[in-house]
Amino acid sequence: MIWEAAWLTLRLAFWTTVWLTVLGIPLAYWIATRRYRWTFLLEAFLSLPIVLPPTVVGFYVLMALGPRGPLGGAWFQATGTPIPFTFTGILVGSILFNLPFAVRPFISGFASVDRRLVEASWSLGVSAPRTFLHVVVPLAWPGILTGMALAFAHTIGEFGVVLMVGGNIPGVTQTLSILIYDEVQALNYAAAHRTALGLLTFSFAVLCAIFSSQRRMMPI
Amino acid sequence: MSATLSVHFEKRYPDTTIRAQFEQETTGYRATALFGPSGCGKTTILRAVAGLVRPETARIDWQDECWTDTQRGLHIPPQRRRVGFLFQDYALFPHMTVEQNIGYGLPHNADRRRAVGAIMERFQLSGMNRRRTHQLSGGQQQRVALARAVVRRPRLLLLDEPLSALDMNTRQQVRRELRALLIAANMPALIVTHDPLEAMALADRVVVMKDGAIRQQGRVEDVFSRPVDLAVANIVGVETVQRGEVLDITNGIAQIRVGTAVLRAVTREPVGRIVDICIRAEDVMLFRGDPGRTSAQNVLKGNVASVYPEGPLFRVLLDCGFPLTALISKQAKLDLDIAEGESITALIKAPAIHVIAGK
Repeated sequence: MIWEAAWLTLRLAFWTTVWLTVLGIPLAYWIATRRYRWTFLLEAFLSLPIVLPPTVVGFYVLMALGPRGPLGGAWFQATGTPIPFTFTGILVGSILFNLPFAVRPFISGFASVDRRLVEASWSLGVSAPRTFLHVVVPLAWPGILTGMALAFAHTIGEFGVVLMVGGNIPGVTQTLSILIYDEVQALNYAAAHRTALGLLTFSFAVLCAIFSSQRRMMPI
Repeated sequence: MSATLSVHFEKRYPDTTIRAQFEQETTGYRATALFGPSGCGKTTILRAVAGLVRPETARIDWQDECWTDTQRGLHIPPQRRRVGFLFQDYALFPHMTVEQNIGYGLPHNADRRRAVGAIMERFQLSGMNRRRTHQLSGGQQQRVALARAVVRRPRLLLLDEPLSALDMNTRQQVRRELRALLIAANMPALIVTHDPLEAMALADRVVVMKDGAIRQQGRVEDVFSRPVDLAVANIVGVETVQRGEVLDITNGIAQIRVGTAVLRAVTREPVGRIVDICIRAEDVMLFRGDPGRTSAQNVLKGNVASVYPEGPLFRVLLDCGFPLTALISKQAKLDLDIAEGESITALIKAPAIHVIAGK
């Protein structure tokens, strides 16, 4: 059961990181380079999961994705399957909940790139997309990598949102942290301890990797 | 085909407006300096010419090509203007080597390596291919940035305060090198600077700006020796600017009282007119004792108020009935034994005194 939960947790963390990278990079670049008056509203909204209890986020995600919710209803009509209590459901909840953990470091990374380097690239005849790939991404890389690693590590330990949206279905939505909860409920402390220690070690290793790579990648 | 760059520019800010209109020839090495104190809007104009900012009201034409016309909503992006921009702090890519920086804007083909190698040799950068930009001195960084801009054979070079990131000693050496490199590149250039020496060394035309407006434009030597008003005289760094009164005019030479001295100068201002006289420090000759017969119309006896070094030269402040500044070499200081409190004679030719009508 533990390997099933571990595999599910890894899959969830991987796909959450992939989606957050694909969606978060354009969003973060837009926020970091455009100074519109109302940008702060978007930044505040994106940062809500940092301060809200996961159960609150999970509750609203469940409402939105349920068969009677605006998104869940449309999905149900199109596919005939509900989103809550499925892997897709916990993936959507996980993406929304981890948005600030990926996007905030992405924004910091992009904001640290000197605007003049971008302008220098343009005036050397290089298009905006190629400038983004060859100048912006390499220089913002420490921030991008931190965002990806944080999103991955944070999803590994995700509990509240996954429980609210996915419930506790072994092999479908039961991640490692939910398994720990399940084992404690069953007074199976030894098993809970093994899983918890594994998660703790993994999280510590990821953070060590982030901080040591940040030191190595520090701009000159 | 018109061989000019023509710039009409206007940008409004809440508390000020920048306006400028000038033209620059575009054949061979023709350099125009946009000259003025910090914050007068010259860098904004340079960035508009490069296409890096979109002005509210502007028309910028390169020969028969329109680059910016706000009336028609036309804005050619910087990539298609084929200009070379030298940024104030060079904006070298820190994650690339010297070779990668220089070749960055070139197409990936067989000629790329050859072109980069040739320009590195010409800019005395051979052997530095794999160095990172932070391992270079200020002067080397500037050469890399200039090589990167020039290697694409741009149609126009734009230089934003090209020497300001260097320390004083390096600046003097690099100023000479930069001029030689620009002449060798044989491209028209527009240079933003607030340093009179930089403008004189690099440009043949100068556009003097203050408070967002052009105050005077013309050949460098004309503008620097004959400023149209006091503001321009101060901006271009004329060392001695004093108020005086025209006492008499005989055979086209006016006698002007300045402080307790009377100067002879060439002017059309009438007798009784209050004027401002401008004297550049390098036009003042110093003499020990009696200079004898001389063509200089102004022989002024005075005392040395202070002497201090300025690069390889010495700046001497004199009291000749009004404060007068002279610039002399170290050898001249030793030969004349100049020290504070010593009496000295200053010689100034009448045409070297520029007279501006007072307001």
